[in-house]
Amino acid sequence: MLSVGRYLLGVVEIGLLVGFAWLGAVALRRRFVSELEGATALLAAAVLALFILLLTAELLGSFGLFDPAPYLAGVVVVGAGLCR
Amino acid sequence: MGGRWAGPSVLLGFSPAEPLAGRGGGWGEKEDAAAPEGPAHRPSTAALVGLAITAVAMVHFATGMKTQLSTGMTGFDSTWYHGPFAAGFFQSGDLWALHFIAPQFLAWFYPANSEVFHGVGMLAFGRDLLSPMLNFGWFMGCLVAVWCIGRPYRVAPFSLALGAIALSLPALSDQAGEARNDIVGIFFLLVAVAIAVAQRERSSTRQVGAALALGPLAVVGLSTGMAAGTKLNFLLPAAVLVVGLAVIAPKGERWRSFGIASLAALAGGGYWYLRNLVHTGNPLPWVKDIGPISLPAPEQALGGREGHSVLGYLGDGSVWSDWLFPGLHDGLSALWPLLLAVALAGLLLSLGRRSEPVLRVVATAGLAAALAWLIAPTSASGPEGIPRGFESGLRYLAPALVLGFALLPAAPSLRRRLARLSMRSSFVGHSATNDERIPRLGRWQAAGVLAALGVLAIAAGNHVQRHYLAQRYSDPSFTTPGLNAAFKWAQEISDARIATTSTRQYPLFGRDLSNQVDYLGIEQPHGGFTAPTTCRQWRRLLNAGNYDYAVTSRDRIEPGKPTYPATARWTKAPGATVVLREPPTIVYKLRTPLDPSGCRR
Repeated sequence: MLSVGRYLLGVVEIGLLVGFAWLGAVALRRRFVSELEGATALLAAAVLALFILLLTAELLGSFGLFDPAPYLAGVVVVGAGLCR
Repeated sequence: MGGRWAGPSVLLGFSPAEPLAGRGGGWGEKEDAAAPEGPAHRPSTAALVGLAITAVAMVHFATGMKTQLSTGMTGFDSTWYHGPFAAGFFQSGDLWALHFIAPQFLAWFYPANSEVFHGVGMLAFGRDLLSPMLNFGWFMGCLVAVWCIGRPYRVAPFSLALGAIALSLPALSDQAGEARNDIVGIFFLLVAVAIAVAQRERSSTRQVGAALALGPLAVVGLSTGMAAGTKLNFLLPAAVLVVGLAVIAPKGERWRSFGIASLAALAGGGYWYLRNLVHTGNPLPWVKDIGPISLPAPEQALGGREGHSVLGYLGDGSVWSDWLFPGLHDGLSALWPLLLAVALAGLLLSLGRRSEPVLRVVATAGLAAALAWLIAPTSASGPEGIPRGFESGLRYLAPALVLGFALLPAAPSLRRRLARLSMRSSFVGHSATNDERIPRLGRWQAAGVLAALGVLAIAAGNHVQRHYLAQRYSDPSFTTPGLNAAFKWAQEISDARIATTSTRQYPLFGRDLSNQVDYLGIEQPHGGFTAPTTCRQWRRLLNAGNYDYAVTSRDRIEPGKPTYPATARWTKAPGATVVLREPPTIVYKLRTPLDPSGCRR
């Protein structure tokens, strides 16, 4: 089993990954799919967030860099960049 | 917001209470798409029944997940390729390379979007803690999507209830707690359909679909591409959706629509097919020729079960009575004729003349999903006349079933009556004001509730991880006695290099996923990969890989066949010590390289 510290570190990592992907996705949705509303807008944002997670993994993974630090940094940069 | 915090709606972009509040869900006064939504009603009987059915479906799925949290993922495909791909991504950081596994169906060419998400969880925790729970998330997403499919037609509770039923069919029961990816592909397909039909809400005419805005079109393409990047059987419905939306676009915009949707689809799922193209010269290496044109592909047998499609057995009465009818009964329940009729009705009625173009396109995509099942060489796999794989292959039909169920209430001949029904059955006839509809919390109250929920979830998660990681493959009983014992043994092994001949290999990665596990084989041209056929080959491969252990095993015990595989005999040498022997498996500790010249002739 994981120590409490390691577990909490994982929770924080997942929180950052999902959080930044979501922020980027919401920004994209507002910019390009603003006509959607309600739960459908949520679904659009979810697909965009999943795409940010996937695309970042694919880009890094093409060079053998799908590792915790580069991946976290990549998603944070993409998510934050889209929010600007 | 009047000084009050709207809570999660700010971040989510919608109110999570929408299904209960009834906004646009199925009790609107007018069927007309252009009708303003007006004030929402209290939840109708239909909505409550829909939510009750959904709650039962959720509990059903969660129960399956809970079981796997006590055992580890035990499904054949999870242990054969879903788990190993994800663990391979996690260990190597490499998504582009082909991750070779047991040579069956050229599985190392499969698209792997869903395995990437498992890999993300592994990166965060260093364990597969999230993997048995991921499919529950996809399942919940499917429920939201079927709701959204019915929403523009004011029949959301009906689509939700029917979708929940279809998602709970026995054919999909092995998705819970496993790394199976059918539910992932279904999610992306349903989202694409939900966004495609959503424009009805904002259109002033019934002939919507003729001008899907570019943003939603791109998201539809992206989502459908992500489905195709998850599983091969979504390629056909994805293509139909992309082409169909271009066909219904206004004349001058067709190519632009096609370009945007197809580029987005390529972005969502093209990676794996591009990888295959670069490695083999063929994005679909299973297809060895198109008419007279030969395509580059590995020159090897597919392996695994003999490939047969349902289409090939359609006219075979004895196969129907011996295999297909019993398979339908077990895979879809005793009500299978009704279920098939409902799904077919949903798709065909949505294709009718009175349907909007976009509804016809998504219904065609559903039929394409059914066709993909019908012609798939794994839909009735097994020896000629004995399609043992039929029942398992019904999950390839599931996307069409779920879509047909979700679309049925939206069919033009039904939607008006259903919308009226949900309006008549409202608990409260009067309109509620916004303030009455959703009780709102003050800023600090809402923040406090969210924080408390977050802390509770994290605390519960810690309990779950302790339980899961302690129990994971601690007492396996899902395969042969020998492999069960080997899988239990591997949980205590760390940082080892393990060679194996077992098709199921995921548990060998160990509790902390630190073991590097390789199905031992020989790489062939065009991305081929075959098992060694001689002792010398086997020993050379073992020596080249510098392995610490060799798990030699047959996949099953079969009467009349040797108990142990030939590789067990080939490994027996002075440098190899037996650490576990249980039919049909022998695990060796390799202390020194094995001499290829020591092989008996």
